Amino acid sequence: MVASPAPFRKQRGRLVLALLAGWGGVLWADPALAQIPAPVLPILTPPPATWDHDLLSARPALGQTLTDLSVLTGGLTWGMTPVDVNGVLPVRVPGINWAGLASATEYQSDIRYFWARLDSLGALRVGSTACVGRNSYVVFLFQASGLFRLSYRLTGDPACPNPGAAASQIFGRYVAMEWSLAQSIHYRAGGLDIIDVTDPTAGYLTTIRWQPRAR
Amino acid sequence: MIRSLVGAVAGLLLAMPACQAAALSFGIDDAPPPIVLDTTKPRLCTIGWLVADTATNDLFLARMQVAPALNEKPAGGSLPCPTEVPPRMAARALDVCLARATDAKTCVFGDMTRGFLDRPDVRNSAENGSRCASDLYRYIGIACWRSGDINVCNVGCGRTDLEARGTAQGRCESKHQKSCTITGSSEILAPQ
Repeated sequence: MVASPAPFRKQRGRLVLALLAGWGGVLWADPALAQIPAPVLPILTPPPATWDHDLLSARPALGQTLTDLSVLTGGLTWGMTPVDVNGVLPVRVPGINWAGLASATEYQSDIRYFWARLDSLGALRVGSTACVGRNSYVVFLFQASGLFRLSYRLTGDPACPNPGAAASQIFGRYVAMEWSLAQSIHYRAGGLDIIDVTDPTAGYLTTIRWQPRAR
Repeated sequence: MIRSLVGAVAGLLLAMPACQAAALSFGIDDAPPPIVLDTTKPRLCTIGWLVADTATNDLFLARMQVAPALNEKPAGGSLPCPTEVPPRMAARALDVCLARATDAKTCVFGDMTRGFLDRPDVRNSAENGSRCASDLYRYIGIACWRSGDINVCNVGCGRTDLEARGTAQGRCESKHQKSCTITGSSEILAPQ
């Protein structure tokens, strides 16, 4: 093989460089290619704790109160009656009173509930912007002393096959509340993304999870 | 003459600040005065851990602030962090996930070893690789690749968002020999 003379080698090098630069420019300029978003992981941020200088004990760094929960949920707080909860909702559920509520059979004690579609619940979407299926809903669970749990049940549909991003956004808002005010848990059951937000003073009820009935 | 003198004195009185000041009211309905933050005050040392729930792929940033010693001096605007982190602090960081997961076995530190896929539990995740301290870095980042339903990740620290994610990505790609394009980052310090 005959080696190319030096000037030609230099020209060929420039040509290769120019081609590479042009290809790079096309990639950069093509909006379809330039706008492929890299997947971004949402990072949920619980409230910080402050440790003493000897690193022996910690306490919550923020001074949150139930008012913060009420602000987040558009007026709901633990212990409200079914009628009061219904009164706060943008779209009222007709005929709500304790005697008329359905029983939640996953609990051993007398726990009752009603539910409302998430898309009718304005503030209870807690600022989430990602899509959810139309049949997603929120269950309001009561013991005799009042509201003790909000349970978000998120499902997909053809327009929004995966409600995971919305679940993460909603869960993230409650994770930012002190554990002593609202205990939030995220799990999956029966093809649903479920976020339970529970009154920490509700005793054994805090540990019970919903499972769909086998059909 | 007297009339013009009275006029001049009246004009002088009206020009005095005491006449211009509006009456102050102290009603109980008044809004509280604004809180002015001392933005020059050095921020507490904050150590951040990334912990993950592998059942839902939720990722938590557990932040632990450390109270300064009495005579501790800030360096570069931030208070120094302890050089040794006791296990109870790391355990408390993992608690952030344990409290919010339905199965304790699915809570792991964000920095995962090569054997994580074979045994995805906390023993195959590294506590010390999952933390960043605010006296050295501003951001904590993570980079992952997806294997089925599980994100396999590594953590990196950085002075910028890009540096933290880049460090995490480099660690993830060299450790797992995969393309770790799923990334995220957060500031280590909690918002003031």
